[in-house]
Amino acid sequence: MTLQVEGISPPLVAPVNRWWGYSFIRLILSRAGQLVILLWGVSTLLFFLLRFSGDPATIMAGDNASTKFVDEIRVQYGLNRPLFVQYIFFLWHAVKLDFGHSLASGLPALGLVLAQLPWTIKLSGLAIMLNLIIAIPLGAWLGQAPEKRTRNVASSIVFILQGTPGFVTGLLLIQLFAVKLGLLPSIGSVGVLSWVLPTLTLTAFLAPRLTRVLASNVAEAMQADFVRTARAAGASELEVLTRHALPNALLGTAALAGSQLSYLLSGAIITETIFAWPGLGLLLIDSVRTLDFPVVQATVFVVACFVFFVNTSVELLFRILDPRLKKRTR
Amino acid sequence: MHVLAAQTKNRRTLIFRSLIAIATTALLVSGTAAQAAPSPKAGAACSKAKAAVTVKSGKAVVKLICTKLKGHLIWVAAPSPIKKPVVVTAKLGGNFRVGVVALPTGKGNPFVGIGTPSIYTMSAIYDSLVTVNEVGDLVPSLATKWTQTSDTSWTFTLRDGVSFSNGEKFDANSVVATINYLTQDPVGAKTVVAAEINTISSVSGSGNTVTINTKTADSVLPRKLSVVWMVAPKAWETLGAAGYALNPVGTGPFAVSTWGATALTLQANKASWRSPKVDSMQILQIPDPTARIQAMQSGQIDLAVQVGPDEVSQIDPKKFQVVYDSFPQVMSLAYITTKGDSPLLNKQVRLALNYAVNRDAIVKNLLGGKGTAANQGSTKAVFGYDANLPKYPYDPTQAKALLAQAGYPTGFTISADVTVGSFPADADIYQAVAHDLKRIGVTLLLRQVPFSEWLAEYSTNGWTGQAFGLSWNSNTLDAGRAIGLFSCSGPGKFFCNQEMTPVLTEINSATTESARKAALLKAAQINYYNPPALYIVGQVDINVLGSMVKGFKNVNRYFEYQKITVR
Repeated sequence: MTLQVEGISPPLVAPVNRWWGYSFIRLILSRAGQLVILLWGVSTLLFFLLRFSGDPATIMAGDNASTKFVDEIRVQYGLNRPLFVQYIFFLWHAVKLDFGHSLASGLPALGLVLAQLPWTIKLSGLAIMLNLIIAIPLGAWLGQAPEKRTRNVASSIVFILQGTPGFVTGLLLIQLFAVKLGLLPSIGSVGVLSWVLPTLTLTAFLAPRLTRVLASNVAEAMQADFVRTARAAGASELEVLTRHALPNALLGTAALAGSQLSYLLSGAIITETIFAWPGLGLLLIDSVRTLDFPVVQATVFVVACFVFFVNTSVELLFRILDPRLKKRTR
Repeated sequence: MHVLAAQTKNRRTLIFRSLIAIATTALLVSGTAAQAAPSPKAGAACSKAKAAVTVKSGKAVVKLICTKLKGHLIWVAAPSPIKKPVVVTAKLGGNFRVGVVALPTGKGNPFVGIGTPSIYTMSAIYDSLVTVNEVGDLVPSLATKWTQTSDTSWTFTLRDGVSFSNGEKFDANSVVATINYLTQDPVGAKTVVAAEINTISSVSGSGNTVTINTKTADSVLPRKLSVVWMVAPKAWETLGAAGYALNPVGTGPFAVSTWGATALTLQANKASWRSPKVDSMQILQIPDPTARIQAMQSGQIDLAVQVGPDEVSQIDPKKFQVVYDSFPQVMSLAYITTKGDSPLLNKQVRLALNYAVNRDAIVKNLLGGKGTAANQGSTKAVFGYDANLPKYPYDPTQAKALLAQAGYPTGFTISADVTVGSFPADADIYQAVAHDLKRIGVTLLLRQVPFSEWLAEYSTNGWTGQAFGLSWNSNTLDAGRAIGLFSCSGPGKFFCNQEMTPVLTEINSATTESARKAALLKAAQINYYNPPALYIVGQVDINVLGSMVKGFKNVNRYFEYQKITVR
């Protein structure tokens, strides 16, 4: 028998009314406006940063080329024009989603990016799912009674894992599962098994942080009045944890899980490099190395859109899940 | 009660015997028993432990041993049956998998990339007219013969019976179309390969003879053509450069099946004049050297290209083949003498630094004894290498004396921008050099920069230090290139020695190969006694192969894939 105290467990589905629908549309429009400003800012910053990072004409010409030859390449690709003219030209085409052609391969830059985007999204999606599957029960368990010795040890391990760089985790996993045990492939993206190690590596990048934040939130919730009331009403420790403390702790933690998607790209660059994964991270590294401006610009543009879309979706989801946020919208 | 006990005992005996039968069957069938054991001849009772009998079963001869199992004596096949001699014959076919640092950035377009990493892929798909071997000699490829008919004209005789992977015939038209694209097309003429053959003025030919004319005398034109991969004209016209990049067509041993973002799958081009022994090949991009070695250790690739000494130390040399080859590139610290005041303006200082570095120790300790101590910018595979130049002695005392003569008895401080990661143990080698220079009082401050920054400084002479890391190399394996870079009129203009100017003119205007070589040797002498750089070591390539791979040969990173077998 559990005592249900009003206000402790908020209803998950809020009733929809006209005012809410109007504010929802207004919110979407406002976010769309923000997206335009964000993309302009990111593109502008990136455009100038790239131009200051080096001259692609010298890379295309090779170090054996004469100054005249390099100049001719600059003319051919419009790199000789004043920077501001180049910028206006770039913006005008970016509005039309035309990022030009790769300086290295001559293929459309956006096409190259979109061809590799699904690999990164699928890998990230798997990692996020695994992240939740691991972090939620583990965080709940650690937060339930953090003072116990076993959980103290487990917390320390999670803490160490949080500080372990992705490339170390990746190489260690390869050494164990591919080299020593010969169970899993360490390169490529063919077959189900090839997803295992990259997903684990990315998850190792995400899960420790989420686990620790959730554990802390659960520990805090376990001290709250409503938990004490639930205990007083005769709820078991498991019920207290799963029906009262965890749902409250999860709400705050879910915001972190959403924002973790934004961090995934930095994890993906390392993971994709180690596992030769054909995603955006590897494409970005390769194109930065060769100063392939159009591909770098298209990649960052797509990533910015992706991150914005995810963050906005998470925010909207929260407004539906959490009535307090809905009230704020009004 | 007794009846019951007897029945129970019988039941137990029955169960026990059944278990023995199952165990025996399992043993006979299992690998422990090595082979299924036929029953010994009738009458050959298994009554004495360790007794042995040999029986025939069809063509097989099996040795059986009487073994005690659960108190019962039974026949089991001996773990080591009588061996018959087995003749293993090499079986061709199979899939050859290569792990490289990167796939060509221009994918299958053979004109937008030169040297590493594109050569690993291009040499599987394409051919050039000639190639250069490990001692710098020209070797026939698609051209079987070439002659210089005048100072500015060359005639090439092409190999008969060669066709592209799409069935197009290779002939003079293919060569004319390829060279015309590189010299006349607005896009083609701006490619990195076009920069290497910019002396060509016209090309013509028919059948299997091609004539190439140059604007000025070019005595090393065939050598330059070793970097020009031949394309199929009709396919190029149909597909365009971008289409060709995804569907390359060449005369090489393999044709592309799929070009993925990180993996390239190729099928054997059985019609190629270099028809391969394996059925297929995969070239996989594995940027991280440790991951490349791990992929090799876990049997996912057959060749790990360009790994470092650290990675090699992780593997068991009995299980893998570690192949060391010299690569025609010399690691050096180039002196900057055209910007501001610098101790390196003094010739004696430049020489002193070359006496101060213990190259043999670097080779022994950092390159596993496989590199070469450098005394010039060329290696033996480069045209213009002077084999008679003596080694620089490691003599800190003499180096100090030279510094004192130059007016720097207590040494000085210089800084150098360097890139690392492209040469085995390069970061450690630079540190070792800095350590050696410290012994003669010279402090070398190393600043690691990304390649793009390095190239920007190089192309504009925008250096902030007094030296910079530079690998002396030549895509066409000709020493003239580097000598030109270090000249007063070089593109970077970071170094100037007027003594070299007339020699460089002599090199560039030489009408014959022998005249050019004489001029190059003269330049090598000047650069030895008045060095434009601190020469460090000749590069070594370390490639790791699976134990089953045969026929691998690394010639200046050109792999003869057609000779490789994997079974």
